[in-house]
Amino acid sequence: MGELLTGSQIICRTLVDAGVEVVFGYPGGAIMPFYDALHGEPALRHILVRHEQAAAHAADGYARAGNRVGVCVATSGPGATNLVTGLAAASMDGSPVVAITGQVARPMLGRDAFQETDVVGVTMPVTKHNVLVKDVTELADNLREALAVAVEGRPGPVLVDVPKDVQNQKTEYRRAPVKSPSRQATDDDAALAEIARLIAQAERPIMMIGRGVIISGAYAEVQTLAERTGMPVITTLLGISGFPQAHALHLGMPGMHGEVHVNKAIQAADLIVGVGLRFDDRVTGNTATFAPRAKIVHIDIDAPAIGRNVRVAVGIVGDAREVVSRLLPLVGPRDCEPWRGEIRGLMRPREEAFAGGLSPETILATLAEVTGGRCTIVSDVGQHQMWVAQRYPFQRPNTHITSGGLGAMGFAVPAAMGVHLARPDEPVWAISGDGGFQMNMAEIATMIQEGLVVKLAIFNNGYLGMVRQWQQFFHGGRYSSTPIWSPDYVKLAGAYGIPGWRVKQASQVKDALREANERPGPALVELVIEQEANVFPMIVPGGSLSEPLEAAPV
Amino acid sequence: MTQGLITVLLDSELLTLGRTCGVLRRRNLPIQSFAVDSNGHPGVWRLSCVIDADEPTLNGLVLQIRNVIGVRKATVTRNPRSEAS
Repeated sequence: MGELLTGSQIICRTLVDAGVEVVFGYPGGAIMPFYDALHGEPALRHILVRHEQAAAHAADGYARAGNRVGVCVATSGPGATNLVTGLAAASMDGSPVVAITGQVARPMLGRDAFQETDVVGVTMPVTKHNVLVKDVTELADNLREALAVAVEGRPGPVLVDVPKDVQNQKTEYRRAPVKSPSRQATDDDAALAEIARLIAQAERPIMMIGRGVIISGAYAEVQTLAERTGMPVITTLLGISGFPQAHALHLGMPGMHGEVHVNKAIQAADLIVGVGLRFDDRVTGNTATFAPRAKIVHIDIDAPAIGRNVRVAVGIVGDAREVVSRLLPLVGPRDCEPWRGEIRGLMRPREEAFAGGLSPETILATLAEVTGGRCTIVSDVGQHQMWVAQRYPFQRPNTHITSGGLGAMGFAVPAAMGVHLARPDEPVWAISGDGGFQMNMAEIATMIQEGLVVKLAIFNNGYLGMVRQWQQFFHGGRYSSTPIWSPDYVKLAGAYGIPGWRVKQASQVKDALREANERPGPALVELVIEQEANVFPMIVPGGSLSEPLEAAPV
Repeated sequence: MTQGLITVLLDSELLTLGRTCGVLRRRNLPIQSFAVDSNGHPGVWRLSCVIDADEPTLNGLVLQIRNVIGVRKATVTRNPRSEAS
């Protein structure tokens, strides 16, 4: 005989029994029974955010850094709709998030009741699965299924919508395990042998890795494959920190803001071994001209992703670590010296985005120096995100977290709160532009109230910089609604009771970043950078990787 | 252009049907006919849908539909009627 519990108590108990320790959320009318039950559940730590979007991003950051499900909670109607951006970000980047939303009581459903929204309908395209719990007897199973679906295969968000009267209903609670994800391994020996043959025969092979390598923890396997064959390794935006940047075989990031030698290597390659990526349009540019000489091997856990954007010679559906592990015994040692020499010939010294004053390069090199690389960088979206991706020397696995697929501005600050909770013992730096920072800067209050330690860096150029760059290049320099005013960030930090610095010169960077890194608690550093610095190189939208822009078009 | 018949066996739940339709809707493909009926087994619906699209697109669509929770089987066949005409 199980224990007789209310639906709300069952939510809490199911989460605790599944090993959930933290939930990010915001209370409201339709979720009040859950919050009442939460009051008596000390094993669940609740983080009160200042906006539900932040709850979803924080759960996402927690999930990515902790390799476990992140949970967020909101009320019906506006609470639930505010989660949508965060769920979409988690969906695009394959992050396991479970959202629990309150809903109006069942008799009120479909009657435009106060704070009623068809949240299952609203979130259907941005979740992996969602469900309206129709009866309390199904609640625990629905929630356990949500926790399992979120991590199975390609991870993603799941939403469980619980009417208020279901939260108040009572039923027997029986403990049951959450189904563990199966590690999908291929049994396609012929395909593995074909990949090994292609690797042995190729003269210009390249490995491209994405977030699938990080999710599956395939670091050692990928590195072994690279070292055994001498294949250079390219890391996509979401694959960054899946392979040590300082490794001799690491080339850099491909695509729209990839370095010239990386994109040229792709265009010259005769084999691309893609592991855990989806060949996104920001990676390929115009697919008709992408890697014209290369046979493409595509290993990914998501079957529909194989061959969706690029033609594939061999495709294998499976977990990156499992597949690469099975591939390794079939691959003999070789080197790619002539090919690597060719690529080295394409490399040129990096030019600073803004030579002279306070350049992004100086800031990021200094940050790496003062942290000793012992930190996680969470970047927002825009120019600074590309500078971080291009220039920060990531050495340790899964230390670069960003909203890659959705490109959700406002991601960094709340996601970094989640990262802190998953990795409380080392610093987390949220790097934002002045636009993205202002979207979710209210979360500093959450950090104070909940004791979350996030270091905040703001690249302030007074513009929505990436949009301004596109306006400069492609819209005749008409800066339509991209100049953006900022408050005094040092005073803002003061208002929240945290230390703040404004840095205008390169000579001030080191002291400010070091102090911010070392002070206990959150700290803010505003970095006033050149207003019209651009991110180079750049492939024009829909353009070929062979034709990079390295200066503003006249 | 191929005309393909996509057949899906799914749980008899509007939520599963809606999610499956969402996959079809997102691709913005020309749908020539669409029907949902019982396949004779309790708790299972059959969705049949004729779409004008090339073969890789149809195959990709079926793989996406198979990812929907509650979908039991999804297949694509070239529409015999389009071959006859």
